[in-house]
Amino acid sequence: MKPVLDYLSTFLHLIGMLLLAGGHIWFGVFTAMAERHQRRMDEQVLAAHLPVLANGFGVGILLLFGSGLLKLLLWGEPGLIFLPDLYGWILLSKLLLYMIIVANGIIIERRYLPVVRAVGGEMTAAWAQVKMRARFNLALILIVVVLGETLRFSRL
Amino acid sequence: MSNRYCALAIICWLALSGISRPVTAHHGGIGIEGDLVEWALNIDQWQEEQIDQGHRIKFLAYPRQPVRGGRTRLIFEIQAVATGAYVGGLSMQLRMQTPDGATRTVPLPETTGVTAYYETAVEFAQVGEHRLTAISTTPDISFQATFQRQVSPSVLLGDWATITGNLTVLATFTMTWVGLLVAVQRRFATFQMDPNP
Repeated sequence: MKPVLDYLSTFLHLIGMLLLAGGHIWFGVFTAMAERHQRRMDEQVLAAHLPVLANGFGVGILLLFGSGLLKLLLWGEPGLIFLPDLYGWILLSKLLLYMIIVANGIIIERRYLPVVRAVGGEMTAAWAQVKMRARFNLALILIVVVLGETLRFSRL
Repeated sequence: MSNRYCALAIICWLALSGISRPVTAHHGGIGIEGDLVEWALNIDQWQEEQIDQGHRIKFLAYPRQPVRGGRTRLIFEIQAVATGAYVGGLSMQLRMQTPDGATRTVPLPETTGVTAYYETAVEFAQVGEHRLTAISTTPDISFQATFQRQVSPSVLLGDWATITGNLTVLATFTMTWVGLLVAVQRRFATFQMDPNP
């Protein structure tokens, strides 16, 4: 049973990464391209699809957290995150950044997404905030990914 | 326009290079079975080693973190430093010193079928740092090595590292739960405002 759960948690973590990190990368690329070419229509289409994107990001977050927690429980280390080893500090950093990412997502979801959805195609300050915060989240996600890669070498 | 094609080409290349990575690829801190990360973490075991009198004494503990009342396997692997040969047939003892200073000695018999593995299983009754000394009592072959292991009261409580880790995971769980509630609330509110989308 343990190998199955081990595999499942890894697989779901990868799917979560694809949804969250991949989604943020594509969203960042498309919004940047739309801004660069000053295509108002493109931004309107992106804004219109923002609720769907938010659903995908939310599923990605849940998959990442659920699979990560499952992995920690499978490893069964008291304290769960391997402190005070170097690995533990890196994992702690990842989790703190994860909380900032989720908090930022909550702000987008709670404060800006309803406004963007309500005004439709109008480009408002709320839309600008969504783009800025999504890019900030993308930067944090990439740092988390880098920290994840650092874990490989932390005890070697 | 050419810039757009260039950007798309780079993205496609990145995506394809990601897909074509071997199955042992490591993503976001999760180690795959057999991965270097798992080996480095000693996920299932604790291991460290010392050298004394020309012998390398490798200490392994299963599980990695001993918990009060839990059964912990303590294994000592003996190897000759000069030749690299594993040294079997020794007479070994384990001296255990508890945090309150009490000492007891238990035999370390060689594991049947595994040369140079000297093993015992113990239940730690006290929380805190235990000193474990493997001693060779074999005539003419004298060496010893002392290792220290911290015993936790439970898998949830323990030293600052255990409490910090558990609180951090609890905080991430809480944050995720709040995020889920907000997301569900947004969808419910949207449904209320816009019953005929």
